[in-house]
Amino acid sequence: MRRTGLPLALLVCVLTSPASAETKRIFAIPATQWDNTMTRDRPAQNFSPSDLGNLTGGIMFGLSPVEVNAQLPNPTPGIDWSSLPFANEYPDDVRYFWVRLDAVKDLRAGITGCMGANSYIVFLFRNHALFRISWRLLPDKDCASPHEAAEEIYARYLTIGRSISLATHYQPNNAEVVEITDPNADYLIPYRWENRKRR
Amino acid sequence: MMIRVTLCCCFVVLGSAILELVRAAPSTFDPQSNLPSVVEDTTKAADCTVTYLVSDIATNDTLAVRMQIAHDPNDRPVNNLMPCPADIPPRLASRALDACVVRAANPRDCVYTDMVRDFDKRPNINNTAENSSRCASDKSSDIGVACWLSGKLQVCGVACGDSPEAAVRAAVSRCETKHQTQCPITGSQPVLAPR
Repeated sequence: MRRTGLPLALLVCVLTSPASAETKRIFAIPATQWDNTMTRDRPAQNFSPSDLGNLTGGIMFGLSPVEVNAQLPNPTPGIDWSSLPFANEYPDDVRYFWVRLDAVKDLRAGITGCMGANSYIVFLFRNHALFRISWRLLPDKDCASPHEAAEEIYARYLTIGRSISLATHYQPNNAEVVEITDPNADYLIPYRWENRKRR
Repeated sequence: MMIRVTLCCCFVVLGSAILELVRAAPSTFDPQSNLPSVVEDTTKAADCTVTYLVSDIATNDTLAVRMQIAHDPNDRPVNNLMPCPADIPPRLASRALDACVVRAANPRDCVYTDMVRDFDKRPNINNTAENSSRCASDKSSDIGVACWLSGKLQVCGVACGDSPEAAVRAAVSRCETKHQTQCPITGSQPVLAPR
């Protein structure tokens, strides 16, 4: 009786003690409008590329590497199509350049959570035109999880209709990635960064 | 003489106008009859909105997908809300799920957020319920979710309520009853889109 008394008491204690409460963020996306027979639908709200530009500080899909670079607070010298490295995860001639997240202003607006000192943003181009912006948040000793920051970026870009920008969020290994993609990028849309170096 | 004629004409015109008004008015007041639309709907009533919760189980991201349904011309608002159809076709649920599918790294990770018991052992869409993952604006103002953590996977229940707190309470109750464990991870969203 004595032997089973303590484990049983512990079990009861674990089952009855309140678990720590946590708030779950629910991401709202723009509404869909249906007709009264519920057979046809369309976006309830119209968006334009300038809605996206308002969030990114003027960076919009279709801009060239030079134009994107010029929109940044501290443009990198010598950026042009021919100098850009290839993004090997794509089956096409996709090129990119990247900047540290702490070097941009509008593209980290609204972030209150920790981001990780080595986090960065990648601009991806096909046919000389921007089709994707990728936030890659990497944990470090001062930021064990950049999850909250990723949620904040994701929530910000989910407010734009998907006819203008498609926001995605995924977690390759221990990184957090948020991407916005030009919906006209068709077969390139499903391709993701795999964070191979950190495996 | 001239003044008398003018006054006389005025009385005739006024008198006939009053007679017309009396004829136009209903003979008796009928409280059962429909009120004129100008009295019934001075501000535009909100169309029915059915809000779904769908989740990506790889990231635990939950999306609130609002479906606004145009009202039938014969529908009348109640408390400034248009009624929702009695039956919601499954295509609305499919379209709601699409909102997750187009954004997920793996489309098969997208499920309706109200999950059955043992979802943690078989985490796929067949073990979720679309009809209990939604709330309609003519019945409730908020949709709530409550979850527990099974490893890294959030296992959740969904419920509706007339306030954020009521929706969360109902979701906690549903989740804890169904999954027989505490569901401390909670959230809510208004059913109607902000106007």
